[in-house]
Amino acid sequence: MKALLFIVASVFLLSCTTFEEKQSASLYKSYKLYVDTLIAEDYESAVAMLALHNRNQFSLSNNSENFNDFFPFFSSVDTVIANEVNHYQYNFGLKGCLTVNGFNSVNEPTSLNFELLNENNEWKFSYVQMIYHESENEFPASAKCPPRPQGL
Amino acid sequence: MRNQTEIKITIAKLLEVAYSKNKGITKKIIRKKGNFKLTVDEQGRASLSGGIGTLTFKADSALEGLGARVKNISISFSKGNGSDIEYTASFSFIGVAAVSIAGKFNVEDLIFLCSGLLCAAARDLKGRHKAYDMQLQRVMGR
Repeated sequence: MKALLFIVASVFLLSCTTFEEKQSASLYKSYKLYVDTLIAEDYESAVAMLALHNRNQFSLSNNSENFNDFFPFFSSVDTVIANEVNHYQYNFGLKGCLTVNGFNSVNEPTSLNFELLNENNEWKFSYVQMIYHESENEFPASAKCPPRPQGL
Repeated sequence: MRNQTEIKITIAKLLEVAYSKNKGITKKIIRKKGNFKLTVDEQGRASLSGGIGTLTFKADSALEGLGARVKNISISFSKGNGSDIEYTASFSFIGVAAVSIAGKFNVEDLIFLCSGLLCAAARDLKGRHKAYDMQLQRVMGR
């Protein structure tokens, strides 16, 4: 009986770890895919990769603005990092945060901090902070969740 | 020298620094329908927010003309008539009284100013650039 419990517990723990690793790995993969989508100017797919509340806001705008105008930040994610240095990520439950460090096209040190939400086992982009640093010494050394401004 | 004109020029300079960091995003934000916000903390770190994102950058160079150390700045922008942008701003200083002002400017005038050679010449804001300041003053009003 003890052996059976041990096996069941081991299988459960293993599946949890695998699930978390799969979720965690896909945060960064989602970023790479999103950048490729922007470069390809496939804005329909880009919208589909945003979190539900962002997609809903876009739908409610009734096409009064196009993707580029409605999402000034999320339509410009591909312009911030030209040469990537490293990235960090973590997730807790249905929320995840991803930080990507690198240099822009004129070699300025920049970082992207993303908040992502897990919707039906897919990571969707919820919020982004783009940081222009004074030097590469300011690169975050862990995943940072972007702070949301008050009163907007 | 924290009169209203100086505060208004500082607001324009903060937007100009944002523009120098990422022209595309800054242009989209200030042209976008809806509100946006610019804050600066005690370390001189500025954040321009609106449209599900934030642009963060160091803004020390834009604050040099204020003549006092900034505790924090909060500026809320909203759409006015046509190309006008209206704003209310609150500047808090360390050891000096806070200043609050409201005003408006024409977004196309500011973008045109910051796209031109004059803006590029004034990018190094450490050296005061009188002609540039006068142009900013014209756009931001007295």
